[in-house]
Amino acid sequence: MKRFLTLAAFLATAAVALGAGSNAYYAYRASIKTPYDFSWSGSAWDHSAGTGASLVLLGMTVGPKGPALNRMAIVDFWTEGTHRYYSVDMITSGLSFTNYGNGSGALILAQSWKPGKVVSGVDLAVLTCKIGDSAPKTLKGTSLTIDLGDEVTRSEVSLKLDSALSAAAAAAAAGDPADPFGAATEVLVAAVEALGYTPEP
Amino acid sequence: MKRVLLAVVTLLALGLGVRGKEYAVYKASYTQTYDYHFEGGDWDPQPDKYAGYFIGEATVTKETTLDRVLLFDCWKEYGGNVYEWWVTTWFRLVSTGDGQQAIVAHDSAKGEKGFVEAFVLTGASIAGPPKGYTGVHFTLVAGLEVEREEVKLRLDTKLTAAAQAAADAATGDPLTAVRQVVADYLESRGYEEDR
Repeated sequence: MKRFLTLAAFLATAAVALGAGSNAYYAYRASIKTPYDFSWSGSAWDHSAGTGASLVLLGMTVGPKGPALNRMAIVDFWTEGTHRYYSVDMITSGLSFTNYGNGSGALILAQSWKPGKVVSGVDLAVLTCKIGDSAPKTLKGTSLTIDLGDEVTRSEVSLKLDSALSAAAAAAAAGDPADPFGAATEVLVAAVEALGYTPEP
Repeated sequence: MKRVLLAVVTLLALGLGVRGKEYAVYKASYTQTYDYHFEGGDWDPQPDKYAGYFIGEATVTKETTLDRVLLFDCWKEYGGNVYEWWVTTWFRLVSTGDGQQAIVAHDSAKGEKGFVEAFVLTGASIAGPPKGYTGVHFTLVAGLEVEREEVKLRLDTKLTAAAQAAADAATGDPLTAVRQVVADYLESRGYEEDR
């Protein structure tokens, strides 16, 4: 019985691996400048500007039609007084990567929120890059967030490929076929924890 | 005493009534820094520049509310200069106590796959309308169109004064009077309405 279960688990894993095609993981260091950040305090709008840093993991699937961007993990880290915090966001929809065929491409994030029938906000980012034989070394662009009940931001975003972190993320993913993207994300989380950041309370 | 109070209240009401809607006319410039359209099986870059006018109609009480926006787009066509206009309630004004302002708009369509559009323009002023706004306009249609425009609005004080005077004197919809002021100005500069 135990042997049968082991075999069944192996087959299931193999089927998932074959069905998913060839996966690739790329880790980037992001710098974010937000000159316009309007947030609703509950009674009035406040305005602030700032800069931020994140680690970003892109999960690509390389299939017969070329690479497709399926998932993105964003590990934000920041300092509040004497405390260092981080948070992890997983994005699994609204992502795409477009090759324009002239040596350039773009990572696009387009999401809208519909708590009811009416769209209450959108998240948009277009980051452009040069496309060569390997993963884009840099991606740059703008992101907009509009939620009229909560916040309005406009940010300039720059991503730089971290080869060492990418290799570590890919190795972790290869070692965890059940949840490769989760394992790769943990590598980024470990990197910020090594710098003394703790989960956002 | 009662009569004096009544007179004061009437004068205040008249004062507010006279103030009514406020209009600000901005000269707009749009630069498409990034514009791809999927046509004929390929992505085709089509960056462009164009100009226009962005006219805000605001109600000013304790807070400023952007009621309607009148937009003019201007371009050259077959050697001639043409314009078109339309009125929208799409834009919202986000305003902070320290004079920071953002004009924002967003849209997405359920029926059209991956369609999302957004505007974020920012400006600042302690009193009156900001002298200018700058920002970004994105339009995305998954697999078909990716467009990013840099938008600059610059307050045209002469047209603003003319538009406000026309609106205050109007007996009908004041925005129609404002539209006529801007249309007359454009036609004096050789533009014709695109019909």
